[in-house]
Amino acid sequence: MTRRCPTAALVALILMGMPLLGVQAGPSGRGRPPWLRVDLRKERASVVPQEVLDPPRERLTALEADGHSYVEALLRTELFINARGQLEERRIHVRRFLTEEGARQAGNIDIWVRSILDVVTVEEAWVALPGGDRRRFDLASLQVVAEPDADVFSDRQRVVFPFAGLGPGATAVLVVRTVRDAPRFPLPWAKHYYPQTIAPVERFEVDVSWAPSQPTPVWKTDDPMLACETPTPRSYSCKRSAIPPVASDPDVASWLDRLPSLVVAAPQSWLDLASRERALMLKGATATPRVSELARQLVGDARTTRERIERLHRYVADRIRYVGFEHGVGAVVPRPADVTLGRRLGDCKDKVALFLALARQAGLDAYPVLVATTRFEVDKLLAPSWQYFDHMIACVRTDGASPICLDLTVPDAATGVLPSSLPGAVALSLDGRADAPGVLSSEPHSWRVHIATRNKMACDGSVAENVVRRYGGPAALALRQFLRSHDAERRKRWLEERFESVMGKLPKPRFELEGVDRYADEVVIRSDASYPGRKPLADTTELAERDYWMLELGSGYKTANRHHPYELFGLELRSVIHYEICPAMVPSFPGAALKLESEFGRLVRKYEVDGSRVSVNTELVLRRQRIPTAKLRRFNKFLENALSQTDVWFGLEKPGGRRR
Amino acid sequence: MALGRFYLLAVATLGAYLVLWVYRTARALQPRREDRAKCVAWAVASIIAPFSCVLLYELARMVRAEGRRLGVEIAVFPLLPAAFLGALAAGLFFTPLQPLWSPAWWLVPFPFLLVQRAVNRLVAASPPRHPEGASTIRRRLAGIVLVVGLPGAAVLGFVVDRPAAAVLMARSPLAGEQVSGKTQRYTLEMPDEHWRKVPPGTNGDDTSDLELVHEDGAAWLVVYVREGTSDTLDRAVADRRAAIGGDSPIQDFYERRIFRDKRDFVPESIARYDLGGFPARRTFWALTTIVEQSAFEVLVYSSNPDTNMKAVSRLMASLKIEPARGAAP
Repeated sequence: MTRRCPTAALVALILMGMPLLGVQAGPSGRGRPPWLRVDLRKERASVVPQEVLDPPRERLTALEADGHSYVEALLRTELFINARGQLEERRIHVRRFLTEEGARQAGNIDIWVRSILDVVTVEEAWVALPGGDRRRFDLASLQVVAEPDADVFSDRQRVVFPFAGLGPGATAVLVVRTVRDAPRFPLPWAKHYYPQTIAPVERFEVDVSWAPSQPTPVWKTDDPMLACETPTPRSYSCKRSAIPPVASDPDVASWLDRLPSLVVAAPQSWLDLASRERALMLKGATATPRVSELARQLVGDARTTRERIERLHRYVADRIRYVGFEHGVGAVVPRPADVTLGRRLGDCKDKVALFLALARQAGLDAYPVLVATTRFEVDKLLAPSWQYFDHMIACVRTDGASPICLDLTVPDAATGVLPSSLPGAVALSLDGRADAPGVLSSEPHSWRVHIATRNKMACDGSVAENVVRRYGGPAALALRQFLRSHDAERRKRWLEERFESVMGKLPKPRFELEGVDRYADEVVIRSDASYPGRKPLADTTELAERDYWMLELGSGYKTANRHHPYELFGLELRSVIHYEICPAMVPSFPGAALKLESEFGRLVRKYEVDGSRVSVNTELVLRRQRIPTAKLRRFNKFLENALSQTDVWFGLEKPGGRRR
Repeated sequence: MALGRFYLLAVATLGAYLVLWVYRTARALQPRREDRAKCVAWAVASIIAPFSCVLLYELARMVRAEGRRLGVEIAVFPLLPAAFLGALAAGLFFTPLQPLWSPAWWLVPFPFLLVQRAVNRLVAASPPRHPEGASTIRRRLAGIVLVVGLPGAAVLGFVVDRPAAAVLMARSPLAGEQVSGKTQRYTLEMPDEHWRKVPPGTNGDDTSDLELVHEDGAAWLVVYVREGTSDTLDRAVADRRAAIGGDSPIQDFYERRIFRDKRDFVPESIARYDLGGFPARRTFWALTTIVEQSAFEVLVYSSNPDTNMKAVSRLMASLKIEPARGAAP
């Protein structure tokens, strides 16, 4: 599993119905942190328009009839860039509950806060009850929760408002004002707003204005339904109403690529942004005598560029533990390389800074690369913004060849092999040249699986089976990490359960694992099993059985998506089944040669008969691609129909007897 | 013998009487004991058309010579019956009548009649040689043969020639024409004009949907459509393999599967079964596909696979399946 920098939580934030990012802080109350103020005096003259609280009854009925349990009645943001460059943002969130289930699911409203940079003031928090009464929010129930990731620590706080007295017809109102001290942050500010959430949104509004001394912020949207205007020379406003919820699908690689958005940001270019982040990284990558000495030791007698890269990679990835300290500017500024080396721990950018420092001492041309691990479409990056990126890797230029890229947060990865989530991801090279984001190069197949099965078929019909499964490619890293996280007993149990789920109830095989506890290109699972025969081989005229592993692995690539494209990460699966038949019988006719091809990939099979042996060679290749929604059914049909032809068959006859 | 009687005997015995007649005539014309074996050889050789021509020529020539020896000029031109038989044989063999037996039975006696007429004249000019009793027995025997043989020949001709006649009378689709069967669920495009559409049951069983026969009689095609099937392609292929292997040993079998329709990814099996055997290799091709629970099978047989292969491939490749009634296009 790739370990990411904490902005990955953005995804969760959006899908939890928090399309408006950014909060602030204030003086402390009873037991509340100092960045969180409560000033409920404004509640009496609420900023929430009355028509939001009293929507047309037929509209509510229609929403409920469509199966919705609650609705975002209003998501409004008023952003003002003041004369000091601070971002003053008022967020008005009105949620109407249609059913008891809606109250159960969405009775809490959250906001996320960077406590070092933000000051948040709660201006309104109340519930409009069905009878017309108001119920104030009980401040004693306010919750502040730190980031839940065990290895990542930051000032990111989740403030939860568990509203009381909710039920069908109730409406929760939350108005918070956040002031972010943007000038204190080393990178230009940017705000991302997402009009669409998992619930219907009746009104979505963003108003942006700025002080005369401030430059005009840029704004861009890819939401064709968002109506934007410029009411004054120093403001603009965007609105959309009756927004349907985002359609749910199980196989969506990136919801951020799917959701329409509005980006408001300080004027900047990608080159500016890359230069500023690069400068931060290079500052952190300063070599000290300790770093230089380590580089000298690590490189040692390595002769080739690749050898030097491998040695540095192994050290930083395997011996520097991943722990993130992301407080404040620490979200984007790495700790000095010497500090990371001394602690033997750090997050992605800390590790990259250390690697850059070591690489420079080793004479390597290395540079950092910002990565958006949950974005695969460059076009969705509407305007330059650091907030798109949640990870950093290092790449090294090599003579003539394409650069070797390393995810230093993943131990035991082969040098140059990125975890399966990264190839194809949006990235911004901080090499001093790139002036726009691109995507990380990707292998055509995330999984490379080779399964060799040897079946010795005795005359009594019993079978001795030996299966060697080799898992390679970027996705094998995840398998290795999964297996490494288990002790021997749990590994055995997992292997047995997996075997049974594929092969059915059979005598348990004996397993051996390779390439798990130490670095290797492949994870290898060997199994030996014996199965009793149903009848003597001499009494059979044919052999027919399933290619179980082919079916299992291949059918796992089918998608249940209906509304969104399917990111197919690619599979190269080769299965060779050898049959060695007892002398009582010899193979007669082979089964069907397969050549089942499509634009998605191919399934090819051929039989080879040699004396008493039969080999069945099958290859299923699905190349990496994004399958558009219109082709989802077609893709599934291809897989289904191709895999339905994979049963193995060949004829048997007595030696010397000529066929029938 | 009266010419009419001669003709009817030849027909009633499906031509066997002609073999006997050759022997008897040759024997009468060559009465020496040492010529008996030669006469038997002539009779046997008469079964084969080219030899028959030679024999007719020789017999006619001998009749004319015997007549001259008796002082009678018998008007027979020896080359005429031989040429007549040759032309007749060629006509039967190289025309669409070739698969039929009946025309041979009914037409082949005519050249022999020319010689028999000459024999009759010779007999008339010769002194009587046989006692009346023996002649009566033969006449009665011949009568029995006629009574039994003529209807028998008619029935046999009907039975034997019915399929071939059906082929001859069947319509021959034009090259490029789309043909379909009872179900109208598919079309095949004819590769040439040498195929005839024949009724179901001609070569397949009664459930066949379409049957075609090559005009050379060496190849035929049957299409089966089974609607509402739950069979898999594996099952359908296994059933056909068992059916073919059950009739005669399969010498070789090769099967490949592709998507017949790149739009819907419908798998298609194309199997070839070589049966070997004498005098020539016999081959079945089977194209099988299952679309929306309807199994389509195009089964082609050829006793001359090397010649028919190209046309068969084109025929099978031209299969187009129509959506079932009520199905979305």
